[in-house]
Amino acid sequence: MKATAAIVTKDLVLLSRDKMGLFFVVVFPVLFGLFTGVVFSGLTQELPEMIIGVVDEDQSDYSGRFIQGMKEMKGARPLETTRDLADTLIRTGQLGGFIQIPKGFGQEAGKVSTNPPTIYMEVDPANMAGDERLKAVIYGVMMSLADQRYQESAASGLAGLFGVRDENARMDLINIEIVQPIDRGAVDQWDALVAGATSPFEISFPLAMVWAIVGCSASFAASLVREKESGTFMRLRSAPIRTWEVLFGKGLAMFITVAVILGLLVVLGTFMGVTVTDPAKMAVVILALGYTFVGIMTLLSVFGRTQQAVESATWSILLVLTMFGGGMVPFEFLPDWMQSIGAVSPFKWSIIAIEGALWRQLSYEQMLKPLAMLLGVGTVCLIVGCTVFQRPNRG
Amino acid sequence: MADVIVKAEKLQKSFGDTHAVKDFSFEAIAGEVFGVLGPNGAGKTTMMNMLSGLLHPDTGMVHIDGLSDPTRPEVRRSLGIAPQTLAIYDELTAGENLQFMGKLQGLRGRKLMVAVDRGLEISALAARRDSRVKTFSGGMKRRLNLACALIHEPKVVFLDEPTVGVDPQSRNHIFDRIEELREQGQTIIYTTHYMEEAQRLCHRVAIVDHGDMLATDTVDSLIQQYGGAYTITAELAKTPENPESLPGVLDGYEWRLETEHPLRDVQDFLSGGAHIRDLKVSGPNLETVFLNLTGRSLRS
Repeated sequence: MKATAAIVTKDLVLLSRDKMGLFFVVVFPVLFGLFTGVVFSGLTQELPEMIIGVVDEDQSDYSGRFIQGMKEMKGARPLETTRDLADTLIRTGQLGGFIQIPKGFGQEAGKVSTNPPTIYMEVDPANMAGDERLKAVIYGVMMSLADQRYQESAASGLAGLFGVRDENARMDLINIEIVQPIDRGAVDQWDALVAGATSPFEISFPLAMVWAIVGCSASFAASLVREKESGTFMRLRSAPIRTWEVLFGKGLAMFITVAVILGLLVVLGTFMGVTVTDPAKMAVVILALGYTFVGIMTLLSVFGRTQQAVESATWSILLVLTMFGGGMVPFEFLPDWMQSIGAVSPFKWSIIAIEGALWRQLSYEQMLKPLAMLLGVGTVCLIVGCTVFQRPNRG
Repeated sequence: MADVIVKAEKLQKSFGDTHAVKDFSFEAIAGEVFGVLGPNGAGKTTMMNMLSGLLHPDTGMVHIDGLSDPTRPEVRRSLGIAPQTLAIYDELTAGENLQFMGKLQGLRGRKLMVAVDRGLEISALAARRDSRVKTFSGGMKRRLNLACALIHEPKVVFLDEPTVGVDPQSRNHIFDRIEELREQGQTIIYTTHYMEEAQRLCHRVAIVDHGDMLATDTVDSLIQQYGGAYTITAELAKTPENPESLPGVLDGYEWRLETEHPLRDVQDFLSGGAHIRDLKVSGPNLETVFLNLTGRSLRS
């Protein structure tokens, strides 16, 4: 164990003196995280107010109050119109969408009911995240109507607040029906992607962590084959320790490096607004990632007999896996065919696991799948890599 | 009977169709410097790697100090290896390299500190203790490579061409250290393709070529058995009147003669009235041994 500790210390010292290796392990991931975070910030800037056509078929007191409520809400400005005209205006880009208030809306509006009033809506497919924004406006106005209903029925008791009640059915304030399916473009995907993220850096820092892992894997795979090339591996093998202990020392050095770098990125991320909802879960993820990529590094190190061959193979393979796994562009933005291939990329599961511990707030049960995928891939790679590496007469 | 500390029995190793080592057998006794002399590609490094357990022989056995498997940690603890390739870390300092190698061998604390200081002394690098190896000359690196092999005071030292590519000053330094070790009774297996090194340092020498071990004996015995005659080479001031009566070969003013009795023949030549401008008498050596055994020069 003391010899293993000596190997770990030696490898960490060597890494600290390898300027190029340090750049890819530390500097590049940090720059990547900061740069992409800033780019993503541009996508989440406040959006301009939408002009929404309103077709009031109910013409009741409460439908009037609904339109008034919309005017008082931020994000959408109502414009009373007809259904046909609304369609035309949406197609020509003059309306962000429309709302249709059907007859009978006013009778149940503002009541919590298992059969709440229905509102129909349509949003311009080109509108950035328009459907979610308009739904938010509708719910906001309905809350306001519920408040008004409560104020008015205070004298007659709370019973006035409730509409149809059924113990077995979910109660709600409003039922929103979308008139035609919305073609979800890339920006809508972004909106869905960041739902729950409180900072664009919560998207960019998991990617930065992936790049740190790539840098570590490439650096340690190259160092392993460099030892073989330069003859120092012969010295290690001729020492009174087993080959697996030498590999274990190498692996442990990389494991520690991954854990420290990812830990530093998490800490740096918190200064940029990244929330770590469960530090214990994050620690579990970091340990799993360290183990997984030690295995992958071991396999990559036997992809050639020279440092140049291993470096080329390592970077090529890791870059492809990173691209398909969503390490360059968020996975949700990738075309379907790339997402299908990316399902086998350990980087996809890495990002899910990291985000799960950061802001997606996945439970341990939900984390089980990505972690199992990672540990499985890591174990297979470790076994194959160690077997090939220890083959008699190799190197 | 002296203790056999290294024993190789019928070692064979092939790489594809190439038979690197065909049938090596030898014994080295405690305190002996055993040389393996042969040109590049003779199979010296392959043999060394099999002896140290870095390479599995196709057939044959290696025994170190009575134990049969050189990959066992307890056997490796008794071995010190200075490979032909410089097995040191360029980005570490001389002190850090020695410290790391010592830790690998299980040295700790004060023992390690003493061993590192001794290693720096052996390599004459005490003044460069904190300099990174990448700033060293080839000779300094070779010296450090040797010191790393000796850090744990092993019973047996394997030195694989330890003077390849070094300057004369470093070469002499390495020779001095090896001679010190020899005087201290250290067992050394020494491979080289330099005849002078084998002749100067080794008690016994094995002559190898193309994977074959051609002869093994003391340097004197090898020379006696295979070295051939002395060679007289003389540059004459003027050609003799009766050149036909001269033994040997006369080529212009240069006269060459192979003989068992060089002094007597030179005396006879001079008493016959010959005028010699320059005279050289060279005895048989390992170079001529190799030449006579293989039909070609060590350097070819």
